Amino acid sequence: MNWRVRLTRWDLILLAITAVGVVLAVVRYAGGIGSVANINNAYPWGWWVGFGIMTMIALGGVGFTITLLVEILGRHRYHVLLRPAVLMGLLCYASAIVMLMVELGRPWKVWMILVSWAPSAALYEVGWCAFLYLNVLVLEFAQVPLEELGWGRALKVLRVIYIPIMLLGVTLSHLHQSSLGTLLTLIPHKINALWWSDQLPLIFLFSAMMAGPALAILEHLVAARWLGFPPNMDMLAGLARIEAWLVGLLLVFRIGDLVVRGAVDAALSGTSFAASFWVEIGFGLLLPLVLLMMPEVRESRAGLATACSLVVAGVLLHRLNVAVFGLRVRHWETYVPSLGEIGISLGIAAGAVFVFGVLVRILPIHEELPPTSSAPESRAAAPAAAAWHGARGVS
Amino acid sequence: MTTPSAKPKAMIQDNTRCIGCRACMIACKSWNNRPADHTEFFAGPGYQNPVDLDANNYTLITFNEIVTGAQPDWVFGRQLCMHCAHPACASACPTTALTKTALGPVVFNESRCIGCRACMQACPFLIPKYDYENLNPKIHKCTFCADRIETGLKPACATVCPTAAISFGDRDDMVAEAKRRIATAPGTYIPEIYGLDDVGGTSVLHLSSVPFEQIGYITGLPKTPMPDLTHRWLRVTPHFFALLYAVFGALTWIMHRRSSRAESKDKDHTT
Amino acid sequence: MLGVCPDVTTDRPSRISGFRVVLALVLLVNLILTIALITQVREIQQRVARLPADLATKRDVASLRPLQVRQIIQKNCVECHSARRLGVTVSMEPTEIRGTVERMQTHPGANIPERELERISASIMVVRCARCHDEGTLNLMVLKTQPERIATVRRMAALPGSGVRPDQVTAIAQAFEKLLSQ
Repeated sequence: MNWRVRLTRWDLILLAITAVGVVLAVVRYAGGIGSVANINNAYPWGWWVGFGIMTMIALGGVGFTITLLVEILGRHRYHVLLRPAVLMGLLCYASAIVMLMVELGRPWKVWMILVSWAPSAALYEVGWCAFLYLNVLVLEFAQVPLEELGWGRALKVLRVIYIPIMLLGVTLSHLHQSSLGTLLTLIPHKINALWWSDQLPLIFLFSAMMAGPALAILEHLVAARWLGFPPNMDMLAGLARIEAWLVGLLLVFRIGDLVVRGAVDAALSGTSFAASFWVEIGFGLLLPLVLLMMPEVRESRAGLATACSLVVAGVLLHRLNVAVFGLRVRHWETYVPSLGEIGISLGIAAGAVFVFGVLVRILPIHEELPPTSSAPESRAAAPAAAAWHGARGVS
Repeated sequence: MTTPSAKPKAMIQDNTRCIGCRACMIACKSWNNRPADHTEFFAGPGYQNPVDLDANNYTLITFNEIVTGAQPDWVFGRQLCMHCAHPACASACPTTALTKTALGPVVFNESRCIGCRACMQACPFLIPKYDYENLNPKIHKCTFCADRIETGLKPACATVCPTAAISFGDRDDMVAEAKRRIATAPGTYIPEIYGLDDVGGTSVLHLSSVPFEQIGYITGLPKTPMPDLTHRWLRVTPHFFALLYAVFGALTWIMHRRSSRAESKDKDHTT
Repeated sequence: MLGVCPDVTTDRPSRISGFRVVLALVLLVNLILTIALITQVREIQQRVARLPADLATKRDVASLRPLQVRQIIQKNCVECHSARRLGVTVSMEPTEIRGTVERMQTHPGANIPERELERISASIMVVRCARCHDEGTLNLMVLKTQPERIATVRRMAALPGSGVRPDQVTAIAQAFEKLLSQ
């Protein structure tokens, strides 16, 4: 394990952004939410929830999506994406939790969720599932540093429980990704007809699943350039085909849902809501679908990067539209995110990217793995855990 | 004072009797120890002040100029927590800080509040408000004077209203009274009781001489309780969990039998 | 293995044709808009199909508040003398009509109540409109405002052969208003 990491220019920029975020967070704690944020009584949830929590959790879906693909569906062709995906999931969820600590009015009481019984509240389910899932992610990822440190006994325990907790993680993800949508089905009179649907839980779940491979592809391309290894374009092209299907299915689902609910006239009206809807669908679903359907895009770095960035941006736009922009409020009310809100959320995101960058340089996250593991312990424990082993066996 | 009846309570807000004196707003602030605030006059419709409910104002008289006949005239409305029979706020709260009590009020237990503001999003009447500038903020809304009605008193607003626009009593009696008023004076009231069965029924029944949307009320709400919308998804959570876990477990097992069979086939070929 | 593997992508990927992207995008958007258009057309078809077969006309609305000229005259005048006698009123001035009705009041058995005087006079006043118009057309006056009624009668006065003089316009319009105010 190489502890010595040379901080590059990008690292310092990320640290600077994080520092700004920390300073703003101190102001938030010292002066109350109102001193840094523009959220008000008409818009109780704003940029922090839309971007910092909902989008982060949606993007954290890369963890369960790639795990589902590689470990449950057995597509080992993509196993090299597994470790980065789980780490990204871990950092996205950690970011969302940190954002929550800033966003909540009384973060020191957040443990109250764990000692309450509120099964009728979607946020209760989200809170519990996210809490459990974070633990699952930590346990899944912990194998990597433990392997490097050579802590054999702990590693053995983790490998034994790997399959059950991996299954738990994927199942929990399905639950809380959809429950974030369930939460918003409570307010049909408040959310514009373009975004409210009684199928919101499924829309949220499918868009999180769609965001997964896109983020995994993006990460692979960026890491390849940054760490200096050639990206596995064949594998990426294969994943991009799957992604094209996911985008296409979500597009059909969204448009079909719009038609079934009779909300098409809202999409054809000349309002700013309609404009935002078309931007979201156009740049987040239509354009990426067109791009990903073309083989020459799937085989090109720039093409994949563009298409996948658009998908991720589309998911962000969707969350913002549903939870913030699409709200109907009294006509004198307005909300624009303050610089303080944006600053804190970017600071958290920058911090997560920085940690990711450091970890990929000191841990074997992107290592190519041997086709099958010959270590006898691995097969005894669980064949799937082989995907988690480095080239070296258990020490 | 006789023992107060334990039946659920309700309030009638009769806007035809309201003169817009705002004594109810003052009494409410007084009973709930809310401080006075600096407001901006004419920031909203007409003389309505403050513009909306907020952390320091749990009830609000809306000022509306309505043209009836030849001339415009004042018609007043009132905003306050409706204390729904099936409150969306209580169902959305992840720490059960908001609960519906037997006597009717939806009460707020501030020691459980984490400040997630899900109740603010959930409420169809846009009632709960937050004090964002406070370092220890909490949700603010009408309490139905739960502490007063437990001892048999009437809520502060009902006690102080000079024109008896606010009546208070058992919900059955209040519903009957509201219907009686409409039946005996059809020209005075529009034949609608706001809150009777909106969102599954509430504890505050409003009567008016003009359509409610003209006097600042939120209309077009369903007659079914809002929590039903999330309930139908959330109640299958445990089943969903078990089903997914089983399916994923089965898939994992199948896929790995296949790959280990393929492995042993390779081994046979190479040996 | 890192950085040592030969580059698996030895052949250059084909160029991404911007034209093809735009074309595919346009086709897709077109498809979606077509679906949208179809749903909108179907919705309008359903709405039109649900319209009532007989739509209300202006006359239907006006008949909700009839002038009741015929009924008033029938009740108060025709019992004693036939309706033909009323023909002579079309050339009378308003004061003459009023005077005549008041004279009728003094006749025994006429039973013309005092409060009905205005209405009877007004009814007789508008009879002259029957020279050209039927009852349904006259009834459309209830949908107009008083300024509109005055303008209408003035227009009739300008028509040759109407039998309405310009100086009678106000009196006739006021007669309509009296009939409506009951």
